[in-house]
Formats: sequence, C-alpha cells, structure tokens
Amino acid sequence: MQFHLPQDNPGSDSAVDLAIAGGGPAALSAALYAARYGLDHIVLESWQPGGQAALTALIENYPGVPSVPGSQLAATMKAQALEAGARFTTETVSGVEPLGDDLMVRTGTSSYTARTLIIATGAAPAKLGVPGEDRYYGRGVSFCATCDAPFYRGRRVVVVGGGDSAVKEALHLSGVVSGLVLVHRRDTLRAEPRLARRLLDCPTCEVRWNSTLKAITGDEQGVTGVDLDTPSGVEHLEVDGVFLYVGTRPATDPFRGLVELDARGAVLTRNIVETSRPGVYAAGDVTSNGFRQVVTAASDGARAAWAAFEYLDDRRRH
Amino acid sequence: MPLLSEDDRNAIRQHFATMENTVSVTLAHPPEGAGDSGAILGELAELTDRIRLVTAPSPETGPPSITVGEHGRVRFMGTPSGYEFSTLLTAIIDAGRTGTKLSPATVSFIDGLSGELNIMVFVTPTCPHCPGAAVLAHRMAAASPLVSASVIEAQEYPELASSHRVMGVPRTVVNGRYHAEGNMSESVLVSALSRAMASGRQDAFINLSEFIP
Repeated sequence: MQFHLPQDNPGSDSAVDLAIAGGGPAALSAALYAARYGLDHIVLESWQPGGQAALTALIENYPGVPSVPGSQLAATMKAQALEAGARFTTETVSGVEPLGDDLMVRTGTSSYTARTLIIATGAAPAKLGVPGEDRYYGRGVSFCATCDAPFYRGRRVVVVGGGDSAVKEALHLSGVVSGLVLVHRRDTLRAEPRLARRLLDCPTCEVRWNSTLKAITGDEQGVTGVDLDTPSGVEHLEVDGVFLYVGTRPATDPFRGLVELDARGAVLTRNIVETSRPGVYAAGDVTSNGFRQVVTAASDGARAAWAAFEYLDDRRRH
Repeated sequence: MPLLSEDDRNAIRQHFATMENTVSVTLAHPPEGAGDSGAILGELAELTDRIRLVTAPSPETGPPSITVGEHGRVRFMGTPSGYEFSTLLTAIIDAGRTGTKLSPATVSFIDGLSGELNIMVFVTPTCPHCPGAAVLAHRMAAASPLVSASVIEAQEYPELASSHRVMGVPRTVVNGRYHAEGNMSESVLVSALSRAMASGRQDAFINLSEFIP
C-alpha cells in the first residue's frame, strides 16, 4: 500500500532566491539540486505531485531504475529532494510579474518575491477537438488511464494516439479491459520500438492504422461508441471508453507575457533551460525542447538549478 | 509490521506538530471489522495526542467511513491509501488549525449560501489529480455549517459511483445535480457553481463546464 503525503505552506518567509513552479521530475530534480547548492528556495508544487510521470503506469527507461510505476519513481525523487532539504508547498502559481530585478510570484492564496524562477509546470494532455469529446469527458472520455482504468474492467475501449504515452497506457489498460482498439493516424507507431512490439503482440489489442477518430457517440449514461475514418471508409465501433493520448499542451498560462512562448505555447528555450528573461529558466515538458522524457526532464531540472545558482552568484558579485 | 514507514511517520509527526487543537476522528465500520482504515488511523493516532480517535461499529454494511471533526461534515468513505492518504491527512491537519485556506472569493460564496450544499467527490487511490478536488470540498465543508463533503473511493462504493454515472475521477457532484469533471481550480469551480445555481436550472444532470466563465 502506497501513502502520499501533503506539503505544508511555509507562510511567513515569502522572499526566496529561487522559486520552482511545478511538481514533476523537472521540478523535483531542480529542487534536489537547489537544496544541495544551498539556495534559499521554495517549490510551488500545485495539486498534482509527480506531474505526468505520476500518471504513467510503468516507466522502464529511467536509467538506474529498471521498471517502476511512475508514481513511485516520482515519490522516490521527492523523498530524495526532501532529504536534501528541499522545501515544498501545495500551491499553484497563478501569475508572475517583474518586480525591479526580482519577480513577484503569485499563487491562489499568497505571493512570493523571488530573485530567480524555474518554470517546470509541465504539460497537460491535449484535446482532439471532435464531437462528443467535451460532452462525455468523465463519462467515458478519459485522459488518465492510471486514474480511471478501474471503471473499465471487462469493457471495450479505444485508445487514440501512437506515441509512447498512448502505447504505454494501452498496454496498462489491456490488462483490465475485455478488448482494446488503438487508433493511429499513421502506418507505424511513433512509440519506442520495444513498446510498439509489445502492443503489436498483445492478444487483446487491435490497431486501426491510418485512421482518425471523427466523433464520440453516447447516450445519457455516457459513451457508447466511436466513429472512425479508416482507409476502407467510416467505421463505427461500440465501446464504453475512449482514452486520448494525442500530444500535450504546455501549462504556460501563468507565464504569458513574462517569457517568450513558441507557437505551441511552450516556453521558448535556448541552451536547453534559458528563457527570454534573465533569471527565469524552464525545464521539462513545458519547454520547446524536442525530446520529452522523464530522464530529459530530470536533466533539464538539474541544469536549470545550476543556471539559477550561477546567475545569483553573478548578481552577488556585481 | 506497520503500514507507514519510519520516514513517513517522521514527516507526519512534523505536520501534526503544527496542530493547535485536538481533532476528533470517528471511524464507522461494518460489523466484520475496520480493515486497513482502522490500521491507518490507529497508526496516525499514535503519532500525536492531538487526535481523539473514536471507533464505532456501524449497522450499515459497506466499507468503513471516516469523519473528521465534531460537526460531522467532513467525511472520507473508503480506504485512505495512495494519493487519498494526503486528502485524509490534510483534513485532519486543517481541523487542528484555526482559519481557512480557502480564497476570500470562496469564503464569500459560502457565506452567501441560502441553502445547504452537499458535496461528493469520487476518487481512486491511483489518481494524482484527485486530492486537489477532494481537499477543496473538505475545506468548503469545514468553513460552513451549511456545507458537507464526502470524498468517496469509487472502487469501494461501486453502486454509489455508478448511480452518479462516474466513469472518471475526480468527479465532484454538488447537491446530486451539479457535476464537475477533473480537478478544476478553486476559482473556476466556485464561479461555475455559483453561476449554475443562479441560473435556476433544475435538470437532473448539470455539467458545470457549461458555466465556466
């Protein structure tokens, strides 16, 4: 049995050298390094500890850790950061404004003055934008197999997508559901070959290649089926659930106007972690960096903490 | 063999050290026993003298339920494990402190209520999004005698979950009618709920996402 603990609000000491926004691997790694560098810091973790990693049933490609539930890997990272002296609070950043050379970081209930900031707020699942998607969200449409798989025991589902997340979560669901169809718009999976192979070998899984989801249909109770556009025409499948893994949307709303974003809305970075504003760094899935993995997020977090440390050191000297 | 590790116990002791008041925690359980919930609460009560634990056999069948505070408005139905452990701990720690962590806008919404709000939040222990929605409901309940909140582990209460058509978590259901999917932020949930209630609509199922400003 696993137990996750809440975090405390430190309250009065609201001026810090470094504020870290986020709770996933990038933020946890930044927190570990910041604590070890002795930076006066606070991690504004929000209400989703572990970020997207915690939503991943099994992570098999984090070096040094053979195969581990995502929530457990995130919990281990956090325990290590806490052990090093990292300080967390369960608050969500709502906005950041420049304040002279510093920053005013606002949350729903309080505010912090910070000399530097690491944006590590990650990304949320992107919507597909098809009829029925919003209407049946929570009643058959899900973006979180780890959260919702128990409701689909013995039922039929479709999973949309062809990347690592889609394939991993399809494999997780295949152990619970009676039948699963993966719908992918291309003729090969984008997921890493080892995962792709496992999906193609899974006896309860089918794949509809070169196909797209056109509409989600349902009744008062929830989802009853999907309409697919396939190479052989429109196909209707009767299913109880639709899991969508069609990319992500970076969680950058609170940072609009503070730093430059790219066309996707990700924080535009140079040298991996530098943003358009000195003293503000970004790490992990929130950035414009191309490859988005737990290991790259952790690496970005370490680099961002180091960059903040160097920046603060430089400011002290001049 | 205790359920909580020594590291967890130490971290929890630090949380409990910030409590100013004694909190009454009541565990109602079916005749066959208190199960893991009883074990978890027993271990928590050993870590502080600020918890007054009352274990009460209940004639009702079904998994154990936990009530935090004398007023009985903050409830947890099912086993508080995984991410839901942090929901239970937060409810206990909040009750041991004075004041609320709700925003002024939420407090003014609650102060303006003319009738009761009965909130249910359906969760699963593997859902990292869920404590956000669950803690918000508990804090609203703690803030007013007109509000009560039950956080419900959906797998342990499958009939209750299916009667509210729950197929995903977190699902917040207010007065059996207003439904919010996912972990809406406090300001979004409260403004949508306030608009939905003001609309006067009486449908059996009202999706709060239609009322997001």
